Amino acid sequence: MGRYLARRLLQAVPVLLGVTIITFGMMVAAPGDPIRLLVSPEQLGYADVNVLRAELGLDRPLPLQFIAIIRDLAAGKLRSFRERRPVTEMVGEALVPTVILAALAIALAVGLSLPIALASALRPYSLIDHGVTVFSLLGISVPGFWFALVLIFSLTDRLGWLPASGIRPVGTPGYPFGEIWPHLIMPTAVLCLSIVPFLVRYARSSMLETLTQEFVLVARSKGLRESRVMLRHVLRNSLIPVVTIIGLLIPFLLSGSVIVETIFAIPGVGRLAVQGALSRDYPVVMTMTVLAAALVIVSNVLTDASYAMLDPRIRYD
Amino acid sequence: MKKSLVIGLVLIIALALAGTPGQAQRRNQAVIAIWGLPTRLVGSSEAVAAYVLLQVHEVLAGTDDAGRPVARLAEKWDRSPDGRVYTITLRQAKFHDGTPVTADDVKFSYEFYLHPRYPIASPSLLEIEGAQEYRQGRAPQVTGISVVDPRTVRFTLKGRYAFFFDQILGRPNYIMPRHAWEGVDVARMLEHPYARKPIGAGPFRLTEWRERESMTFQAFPDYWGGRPKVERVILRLIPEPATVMAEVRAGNIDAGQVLPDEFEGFQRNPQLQTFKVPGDVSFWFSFNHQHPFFSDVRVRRAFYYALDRELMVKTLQKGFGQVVNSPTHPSLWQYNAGLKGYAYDPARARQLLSEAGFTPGAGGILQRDGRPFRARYTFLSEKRYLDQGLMIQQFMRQVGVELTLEPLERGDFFGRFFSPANSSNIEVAGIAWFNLLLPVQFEFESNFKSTGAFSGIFQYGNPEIDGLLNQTSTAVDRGAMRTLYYRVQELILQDVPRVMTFRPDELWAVQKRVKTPPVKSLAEFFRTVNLWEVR
Amino acid sequence: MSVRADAAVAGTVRLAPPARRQRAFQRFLRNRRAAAGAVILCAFGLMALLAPNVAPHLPDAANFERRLLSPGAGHVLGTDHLGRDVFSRVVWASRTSLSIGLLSTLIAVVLGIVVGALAGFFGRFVDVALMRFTDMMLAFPLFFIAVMFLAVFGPGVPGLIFIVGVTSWPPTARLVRAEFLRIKQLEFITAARALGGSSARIIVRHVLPNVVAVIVISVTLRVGLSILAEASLSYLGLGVQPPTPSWGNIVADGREYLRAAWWVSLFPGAFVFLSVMALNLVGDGLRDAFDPRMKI
Repeated sequence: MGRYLARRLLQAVPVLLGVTIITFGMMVAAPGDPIRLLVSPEQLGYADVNVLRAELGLDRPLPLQFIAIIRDLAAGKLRSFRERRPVTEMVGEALVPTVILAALAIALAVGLSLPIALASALRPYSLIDHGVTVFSLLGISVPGFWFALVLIFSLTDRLGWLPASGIRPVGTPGYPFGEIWPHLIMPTAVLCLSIVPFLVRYARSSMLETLTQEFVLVARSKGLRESRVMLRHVLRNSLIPVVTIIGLLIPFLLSGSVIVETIFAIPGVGRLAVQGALSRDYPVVMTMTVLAAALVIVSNVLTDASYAMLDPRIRYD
Repeated sequence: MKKSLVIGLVLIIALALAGTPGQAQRRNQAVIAIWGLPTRLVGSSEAVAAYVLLQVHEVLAGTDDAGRPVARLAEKWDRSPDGRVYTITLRQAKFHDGTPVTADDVKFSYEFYLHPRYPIASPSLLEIEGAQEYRQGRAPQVTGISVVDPRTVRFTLKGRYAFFFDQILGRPNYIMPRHAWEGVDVARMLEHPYARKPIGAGPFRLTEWRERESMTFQAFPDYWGGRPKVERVILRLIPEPATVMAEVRAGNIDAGQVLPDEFEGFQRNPQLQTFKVPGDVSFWFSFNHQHPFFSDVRVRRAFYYALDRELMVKTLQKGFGQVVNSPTHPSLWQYNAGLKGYAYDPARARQLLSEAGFTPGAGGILQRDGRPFRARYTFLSEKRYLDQGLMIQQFMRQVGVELTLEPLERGDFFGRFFSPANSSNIEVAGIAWFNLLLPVQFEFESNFKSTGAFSGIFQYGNPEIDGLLNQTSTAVDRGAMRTLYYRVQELILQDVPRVMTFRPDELWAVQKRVKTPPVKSLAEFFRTVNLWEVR
Repeated sequence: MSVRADAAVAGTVRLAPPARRQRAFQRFLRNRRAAAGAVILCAFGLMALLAPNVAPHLPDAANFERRLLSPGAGHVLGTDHLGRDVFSRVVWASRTSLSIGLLSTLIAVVLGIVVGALAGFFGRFVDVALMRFTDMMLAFPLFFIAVMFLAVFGPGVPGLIFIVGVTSWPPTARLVRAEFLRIKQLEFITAARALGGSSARIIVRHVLPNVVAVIVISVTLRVGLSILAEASLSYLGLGVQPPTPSWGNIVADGREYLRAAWWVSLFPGAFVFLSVMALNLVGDGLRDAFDPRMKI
């Protein structure tokens, strides 16, 4: 297992390097001058563009720039063009809201999906099952941004129950759950909407399969209580595929966070990436793409590893 | 024993009535919703940064609505008979860290702004003797600024300069503490901790800066102008206007912008007060004056007649705005209120165009020498510009001019807009202008003087305007200056270097419990935060 | 030689293709949900094709005096802030949104077929390499990439179609590969091989027809996702640029007026929802009709 992990992680290095090269190429090929975006039109003629350019190191030849980027990236010393702070610091700050929302969304999604899937799997093709199927279908068809607007319109504009911006009330130090929970409800709901249908479907088919397997019949015939059968045998066995899919959901949630963070003005990683790209903040874009790639690799490896761990019948390479 | 019990009881009751200091602090705060936060506080050229710097920093002097000098950190001054030398006495003011503001700090600050590696070039500061040499790295210091004693500093100018108070002593030349910044490499100033936690002499201290989220300011008790009555001010970043309004209604925000369609609803809301001022932003579009079509002033005037600017204000701002005939903000003394603008008169527009040699062509589009009157209208791809563009396109179509809309996103737009090599790419281009951030003289020069930055893009030059603007810096008095500025505005209207459309009103809602002084502009709103009171 | 091989193959296939398709079609029709989805799809398709006839006004016909009118006579879905008829804009937007969805899916599916076929048919090293790559891409935050790409290179329809297409091929590749693997093992292929048929011939004549079912289902489901992606990107301002209407950017237009004129944002979003839902119903129906145990 250890060797397998090590090998997979080592394979990650060329991938990350490739991602860096592609991103750099994209930044170079992109139209628009980052310097011009740092200067607002009112100050035109007032701002000394050449000094700015030298300050950011954009006056050096491209290969030198690239090497400097790789070097700074590896050392974690890349500095944002706009804020002149280490990007790692910016990402570290931005990660907190994103992770809070993602973790909450996963926890809620799993908590909701499993009982629903179980209820549905126990009575296939019944009214409940049909209802669940329709609900799943609805969930994957609703555009996230539209759902968010509907929520804001009803819960903030009309009823005034929930705040529609930010992740915490102004001036709150840190992220104490007791104070920030109203801000979390709507964004989490939107994120959940995108993953619950998948989880339900997956869990349902997995449970259906488990339920028909022999060991369940055996357990039942042994006279075990229904609930015990459920918990010990069905759930545990059907959880395996579900757990593996959770790992795959994480990068998916990163995408979802872009919309949610933009609409709800949450200073998370998704918004940081978008704003960085829009303002041609090369260091931020570079760091974000490398991080996203790293996240993908890690979650892939974790998924495979957890799959292997949970199901001793599976051997890898 | 009994006595101490009684005293104890009284104390407890007193405390309960007064509330603990912490509670009072939390109540004595104002939260302002803002559409963007600055990314840097030194060497910044962002509009939003200006609003933040207003709270934290202080300048030597400024000018009031009538153009008279107003003392700030400078308490009094003497001017030499030839008008070249100003001897300024500083008042007893302190920086946020308790150290006094001295003449050394003044000299240091100005040399900081004139440093060869400082990213912003200030032409007006170059009026100081020795500034040019210093900026070019040929001198170790600016000879025109001398420290007479800790409380006295002397400015020697190259010549008489009418804008000494507003462009040299005024914003954005904030006084910074020398002991905090001495020895810092100017090229890397953003990496200095004080770049993010500035020490200034302004009414508030920046105590917390949560990136892309909020900025928190605490009242500075030793501010020379008196301790601000509001203890804490928080700038909260909310990019979406709809969300701002929702939060104001919910009471989570104390002051925020309101969209025109909702303003009446807010005015009726008993828990809120509203204010409406001519906005700091005015919209305009200009032409490539080398283009054969647009070099003719009749064509440019035709544009003015073809646009129903009142309808634009009604449609896009629900009436909350004004048609604009001058680039200057109405609250300024230089503003020429007596200008009579172009009325909506499509017939006159068509007449002017035919005088310019255009005749009706295929598809209802005018043509001249076989060339149809088509042009690209380039603008920033934001909703407000797009909406205006659509209206302008429709109006121009009615008089036979076909404009193709070309929305560009930021990188593309500014890349094309600001590089001289690409300026020939522009035929018609529009943007908005943030007034009141920079001195009026600078605005005029940058926009309308043939050496100005915008003139470079649009290739406009008018010798009469140039001449007038050259005279202002040596005008005898404000009356003379005003005459010059009035004439410049007349010429801008007559010669049409650009078509000015409208100035939207700034519409704001403020919670009733926050008392704000009446203001005439948004900039003034942010300038007077230290006068707010929270009940 | 080939005729004899084909005859031998035809005899050993489990179900003759035409019969299989016929039965599947019948099963599909009996599925009420799928039928409903198909009806909605046809309706939207017709609406998009016949937009000039269906829409009462031109999408950019602005009437500045009639802004933000609520749904009623003259304007079924109301007007927006420039006085444009929302219904007309939504109808015209269906052209944009649906065609972008189709085109990007086309790119995705073609790429997916190529990759999946190569991997499934050649197996071993090629398979492993391609599948590793596919797995990696599957797990990548695709929307995130699309956003970054469009933010950097500038929004616009060509870029949109390109990036959505190029990031959506992995699921199709996987499916196609799985089908290839399944069919490869079937007897009739080994028989054809033994009788000397060439690889290309085998693929085209015997494997592909069976894969078509999978591809059609995959396409149907993918178009829905592409439509969602385009709507989201356009909402963010990175997709179709106004004034060209797309369902996503009309919702964005109405964002500022949500309280005063909720209809501008509500209806285009509802159309996105309905079309994606219809596509999912049809896709599910197709899958159930062909083989309910298919793991799609």
